[in-house]
Amino acid sequence: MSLRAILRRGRPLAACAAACFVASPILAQTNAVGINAAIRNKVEIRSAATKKTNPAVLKASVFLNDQVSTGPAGQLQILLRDRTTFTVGANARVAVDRFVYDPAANSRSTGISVAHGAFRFMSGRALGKPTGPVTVRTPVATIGIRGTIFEGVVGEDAKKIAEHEPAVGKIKSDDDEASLIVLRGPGPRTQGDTIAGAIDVIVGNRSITLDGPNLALYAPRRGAPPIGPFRISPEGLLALQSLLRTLPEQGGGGGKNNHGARNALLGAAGVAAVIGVGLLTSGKKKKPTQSPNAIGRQPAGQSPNGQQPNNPPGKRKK
Amino acid sequence: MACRIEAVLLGLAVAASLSSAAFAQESPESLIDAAQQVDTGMALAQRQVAGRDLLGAMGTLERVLFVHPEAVQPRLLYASLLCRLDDAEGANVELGLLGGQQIADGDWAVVTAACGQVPRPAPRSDKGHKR
Repeated sequence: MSLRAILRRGRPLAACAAACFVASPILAQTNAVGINAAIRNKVEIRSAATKKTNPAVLKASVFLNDQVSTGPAGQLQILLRDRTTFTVGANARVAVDRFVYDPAANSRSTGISVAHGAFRFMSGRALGKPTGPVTVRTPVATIGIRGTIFEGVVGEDAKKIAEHEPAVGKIKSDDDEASLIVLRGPGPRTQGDTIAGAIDVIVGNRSITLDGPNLALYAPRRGAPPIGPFRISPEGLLALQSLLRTLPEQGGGGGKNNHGARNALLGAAGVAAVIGVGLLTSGKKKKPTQSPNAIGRQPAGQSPNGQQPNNPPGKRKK
Repeated sequence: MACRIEAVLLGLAVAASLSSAAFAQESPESLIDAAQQVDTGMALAQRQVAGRDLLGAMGTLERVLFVHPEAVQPRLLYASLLCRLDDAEGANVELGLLGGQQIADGDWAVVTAACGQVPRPAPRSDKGHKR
């Protein structure tokens, strides 16, 4: 059989192969970093290409350097091309400013800037398990990510939550720069195809590793030493969730007004939720209370090594 | 040699089809669409859990709760996954949000299997916290 004949027979197969690659939704959008996967309340995106700002649309592409802004009760989940889930909470300004994903070469590089507001980063199961640097930057911290789930908040809400943590207390913080970062997991006893997560947080000339669930770090302002690691209290964790997550609302239905998520907490979610909201809205310091559904709890404010907050453990590198 | 080339071409086509099929089965759009309804979102999350993709299931359940924050089953499964990811305190937070809700025995069994024996969320009063 001649080569021409072989190629003639193989053409439909090759055409199919090419078509199959092109038809893949992800590969067709090589200039997009991801898509809007879930939207709640007011979310706007300023296009880096056109400089125009429009409401976020479900399943619309998100491109490099697009600026995401959320309202007081706005929330957005972006599904990045490498299957990372990046959730943007209330009062946030965020942009993906670096994204390289090449599953064929098993490589990726991701950079996200958070100027203000709450966020969650959750590594996804990408094809081929690519490796490469993944970082999130706040005004005062750079977070290097190692396959994990972590959350953070920048600005006044970070200050309000941190002030009520026994490990932090009342300290001088900057309303624009203050950054609270919490590693959520996976922990060392994780199941499934996940490995224990960790993040390396660089603040100034210090690098501190968070390597256990709910270990937190607080950077109050530029030039100030970070505080931590410490274990965030249940109330602090709930307050952070109120900025990030959809919580049950009294009477059902999605919140349409700008304070739907927070106001909903006051009605339906119970004692711990009331305290959590109180931290954000009243500024009064409240004592931690015991959750009736505690599962293997450690005392709030205590490090995983049992040390007191004034002597937090953790690696400090110069 | 002709057979080898043909085999390579066929292999490429099959690989491309499988790869495309994988993408097509789990395209971002399909992941998002599934989360618009509680039943389809739960089904997807459970398939992901069965496939040991716990983080994928977490993302799915978060999307479901974006649309249906009142839904109990997704939040229970979310809490159980937090336990499986060794975030017991996070699970506590989620379970605490279900105070007063009706929880089926089968659904609660999923939580206890992952988190251990824990009290079911109880109905709460609206009198606020204790000082």
